[in-house]
Amino acid sequence: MKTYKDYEAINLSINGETRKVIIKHSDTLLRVLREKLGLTGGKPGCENGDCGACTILLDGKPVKSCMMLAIEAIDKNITTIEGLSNTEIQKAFVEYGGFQCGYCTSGFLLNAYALLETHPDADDDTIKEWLQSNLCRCTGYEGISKAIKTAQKKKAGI
Amino acid sequence: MISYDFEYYRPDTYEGAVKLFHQLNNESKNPLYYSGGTEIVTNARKNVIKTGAIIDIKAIPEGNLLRETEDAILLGANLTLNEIIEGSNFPLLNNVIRKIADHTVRNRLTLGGNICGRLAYREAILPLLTTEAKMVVAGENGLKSMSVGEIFDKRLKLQKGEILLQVEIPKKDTELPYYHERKEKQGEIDYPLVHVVALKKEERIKAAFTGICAFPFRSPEIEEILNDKNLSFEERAKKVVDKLPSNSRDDVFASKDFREFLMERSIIHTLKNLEGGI
Amino acid sequence: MDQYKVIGKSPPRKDSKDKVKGKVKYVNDINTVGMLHTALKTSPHAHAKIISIDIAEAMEKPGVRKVITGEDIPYIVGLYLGDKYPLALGKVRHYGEAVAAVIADSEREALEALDAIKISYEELSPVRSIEEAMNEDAALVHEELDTYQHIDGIYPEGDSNVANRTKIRKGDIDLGFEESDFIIEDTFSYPQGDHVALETRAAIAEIKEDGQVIITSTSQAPFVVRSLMSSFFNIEPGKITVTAPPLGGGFGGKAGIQLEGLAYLLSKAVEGKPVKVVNTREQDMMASPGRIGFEGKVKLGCKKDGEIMAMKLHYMFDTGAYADYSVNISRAAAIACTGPYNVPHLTCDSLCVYTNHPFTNAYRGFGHLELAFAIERALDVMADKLGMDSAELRKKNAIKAGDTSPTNSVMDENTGDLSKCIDRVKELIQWEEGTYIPLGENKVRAKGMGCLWKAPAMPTNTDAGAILTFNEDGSINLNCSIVEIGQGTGTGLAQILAEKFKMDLEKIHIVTDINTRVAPHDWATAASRSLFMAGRAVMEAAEDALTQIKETAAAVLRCPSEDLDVAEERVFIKDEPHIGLDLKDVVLGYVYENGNAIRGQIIGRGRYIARRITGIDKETGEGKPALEWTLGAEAVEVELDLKDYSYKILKSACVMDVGKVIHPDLARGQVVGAMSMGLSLATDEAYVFNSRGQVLNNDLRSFKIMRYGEMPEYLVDFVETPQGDGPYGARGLGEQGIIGIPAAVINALSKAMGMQLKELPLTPENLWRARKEENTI
Repeated sequence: MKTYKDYEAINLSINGETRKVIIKHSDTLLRVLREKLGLTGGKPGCENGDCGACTILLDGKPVKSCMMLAIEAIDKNITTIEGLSNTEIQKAFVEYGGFQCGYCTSGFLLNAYALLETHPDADDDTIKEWLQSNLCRCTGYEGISKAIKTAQKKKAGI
Repeated sequence: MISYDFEYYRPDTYEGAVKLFHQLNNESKNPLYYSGGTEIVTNARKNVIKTGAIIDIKAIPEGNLLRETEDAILLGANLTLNEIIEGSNFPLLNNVIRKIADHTVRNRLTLGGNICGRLAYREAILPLLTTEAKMVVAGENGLKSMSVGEIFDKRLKLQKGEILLQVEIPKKDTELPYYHERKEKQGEIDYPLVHVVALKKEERIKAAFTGICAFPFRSPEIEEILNDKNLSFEERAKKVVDKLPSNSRDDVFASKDFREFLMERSIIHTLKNLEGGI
Repeated sequence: MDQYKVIGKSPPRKDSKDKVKGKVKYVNDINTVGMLHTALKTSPHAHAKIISIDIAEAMEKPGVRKVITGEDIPYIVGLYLGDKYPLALGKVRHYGEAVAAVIADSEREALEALDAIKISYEELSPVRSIEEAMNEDAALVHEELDTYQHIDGIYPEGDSNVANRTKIRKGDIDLGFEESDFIIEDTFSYPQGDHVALETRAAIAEIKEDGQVIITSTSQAPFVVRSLMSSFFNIEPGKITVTAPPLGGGFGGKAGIQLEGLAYLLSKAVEGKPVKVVNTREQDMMASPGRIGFEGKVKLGCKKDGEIMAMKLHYMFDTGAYADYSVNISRAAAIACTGPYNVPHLTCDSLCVYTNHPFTNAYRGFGHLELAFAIERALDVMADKLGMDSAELRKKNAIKAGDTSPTNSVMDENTGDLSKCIDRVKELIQWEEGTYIPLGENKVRAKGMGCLWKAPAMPTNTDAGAILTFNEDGSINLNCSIVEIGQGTGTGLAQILAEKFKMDLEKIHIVTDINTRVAPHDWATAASRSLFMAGRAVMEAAEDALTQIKETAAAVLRCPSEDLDVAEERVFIKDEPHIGLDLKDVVLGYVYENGNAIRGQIIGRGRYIARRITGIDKETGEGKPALEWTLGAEAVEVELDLKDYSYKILKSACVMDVGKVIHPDLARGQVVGAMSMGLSLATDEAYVFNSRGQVLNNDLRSFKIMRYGEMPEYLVDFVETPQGDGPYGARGLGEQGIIGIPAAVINALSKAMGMQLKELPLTPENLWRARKEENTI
């Protein structure tokens, strides 16, 4: 049995690096990433699991980092937006106006990235199912939708 | 952000978890079992949940099983909803739980969490009620297996310190004809105003409901009405609404009247789909 | 061939790369060692007397530095009307109002201490609607309204709940109705809601030893913050520095002054240490201002052929407990009260009404959204009565150059072409195929239209500025004070500058964190006037810099400066282009081979101030308050299930006359984003109150905005009737796309249902209820 008390020094594997960090058990992963590790790409849009602006990848799957404890991420691979570079989906977001204010963008990008890695041939229903997890107030989702479809084609070499 | 401290434990066995629970409870730490955490973390932020100790049960191997035997599908209660959707062979369950929360949340939200959580909808229980699944519960005296009908009444009647470990769904029931209908206020990512889940076994419709009342339920009286072929679908639907086990929900998402309107319609659709005709 | 090199193209936004890498720093991303954190205790009641606040226990909690209540900081901080304290004092006037603040070493400790603050209230009966507020014997939300200080041009009515009344009187209203063959009269309304910018409001304040006040905040209006901080707290303006980093959405909600005053007062309470105030989502919706509610009574008279003769309008806005921007929203709605139509006989009373609802401020559309909802709905009701196509009715009355506005100012030759917009939107939505198309027994497709117009509602002396400085490589630093709120105006301004210099956009660098200490004065990033006004300032700054560049080059090249031109980072003789200098050798002063240097660096200065704008007359509304009008037409197509009243928005179309499209992709993005907000507002967004005036949906779990997959097909086009005084002919377009949409949706659903709907939000339940009530009448 593992037992944790008070402050805990833990190792987290983030974007391919091991980061040592001191946390409290009740610290959410979002707050630890932002406030202890300076990874502010994920945002506290609601801290209630509704908006998806805090989405990160945990072992490749999108999760809302405001809804989990940092301590649960031990022995998992965390990917934040800071760990995503020059991907097709990032390029397509730039090209097709997948963002305006940029606040929801990290969450959308990570979710969309995971989607295209998991289901390279995702149809409209699957795209919708995944991306309904995130809110955007600026774009009306048009640019996001175009970007995903473009990145999907690029990845498939079309 | 959660503003208060709690202890965090991650036992590897259910025996250890149960023992720990009682120990922490004796220390007045108001322990909580924790699996996906989606509900506990968000409610702890709002101070709606206060606890001195979290017992994370995700490391208990029995809770993570997904297995098919000759006559049952066995699902660990710690499986996330997406793990079940991707791995289980029970279309009704998969379709029902696919409507819960959103895709990203379903990567954390577990079967056990949905059934045992505070949120009253507990949609995952509906297919289990209709298939008369077995619930495997770990407690101080080890494991026990009970039929869902015995242990679920509005909520899962767990004794203090007990853990829902697994559910066992009779395989033959997973192949039965089924129908389910869920209505929301406006967008799909929302709580159900009404969720009707039904299947047809030996020419009888079995149905479970949530959203309409303050709790999920299956009712023999309502099933009598549903199967009363002397009545038209419309008459049966009306009668069902008259026989609900409690007042209909009336809240920020919908009024009682509108829920009942939707309920009648969903019942008619259910009957059309499972009984056919008309 | 296109006459422009950069204008009218869609280069990538200047902030693209940082935004897709999570590198933009928003206010709440800033945390420094030693910064103190805060948490707010809010009211559970809509209306109550504060009997006592016991902070003793909270003060003893770990990490707590101070607990501050309204009595500690009794400053008046109302934007236009002095009706509000930073923390409630004496009484709370809405659910979720901030009552006390904890300052602690960490946010966690501040939050944890909240429970230990014990407040005792005596509940008062709340004013729960506009109707209740307007009752003769209504409880007063502000008993001392007649003693409050306020700006000129608003008229609070003491001993009532009316915070402002704006009157418009034009023509002869009685004659207008006499000459009308058809008259309709109806009331249309919608409840309050929220902006839901994904970033919640935040402010950081620090006071230096010499009294310098340093603010960093989520502000659309850093100069307004500076000015109001000065007047609220009696600080010399020169001692205040406000920085506005890029915002995670604004939509008007971050205009005016928000948390800055509170952050300053809290910092002051802890010897000027840096203090950060951040809203939770729930507080952002409740304790900070949201979207205004509306009820509009329209009496409309027409000739048989559809010519509008008269309108009698009574608009009432639910500002909630405090007036903030809303006294100006109701005023803006009066100024534009008829919508984009020529109305010879008109009266309008537009009221800003206090209730015990959460307070509200600017929201995309700023009054025009609300008036368009009432007018456009009324026009459809009238079209039904006349048996006339509603698009034809709109076209027939479309305002045009030479007509007069509601404030009796003549629409000049810059007036856009609304008829053309209507024609084009009809094509986009396939209006002619039919606006009511049954699909089998239980489904129907229907279309509805809503037209729009909007002028910036802003002070008559609204200004903008631009400063250009240069780098060793000849590239330009563009320093304007337009806050990046997602709209990308910085890129548009850079395009204007690049066009003037005939230069690659890559060589223009924009300032993204607007700092009032170094940036040129600018009113606010609001009212859809940024590209217009700052664009003009940039053009002037470019001319100024080009003149200086040519002067330096003329000396070196020994030619008249008027013979010189600048392009492609060179200054050269027009008719002998091979003779010239690289800009990089000129912009920081020219250096001769022997080391002699001349002229020094180039600094371009540009200004713009609104031209010939006036206030309006108190009794008649006469005046010229509009800088420019953007006109447009919008339409939606819905598919309704007649059995359960669920529906989908299939298409949403907008055609606006924007004068000139500077950046087509960004322009489309603004329009599409605005339409989606309008759709979301119309279909689902509204606060729900219980009988005690408490809000039941104060988070994003229960207050829903549109999600991916719920969006329609967006159809967007532009008409380009140049705005003579706009940069390259451009006029504003940031807000406008929302304005006609709620009306278009309700018009489409009214058509689909075969009945006249009158209220938002159009949830399936509300449609079902409307049908049910119709059947019981």
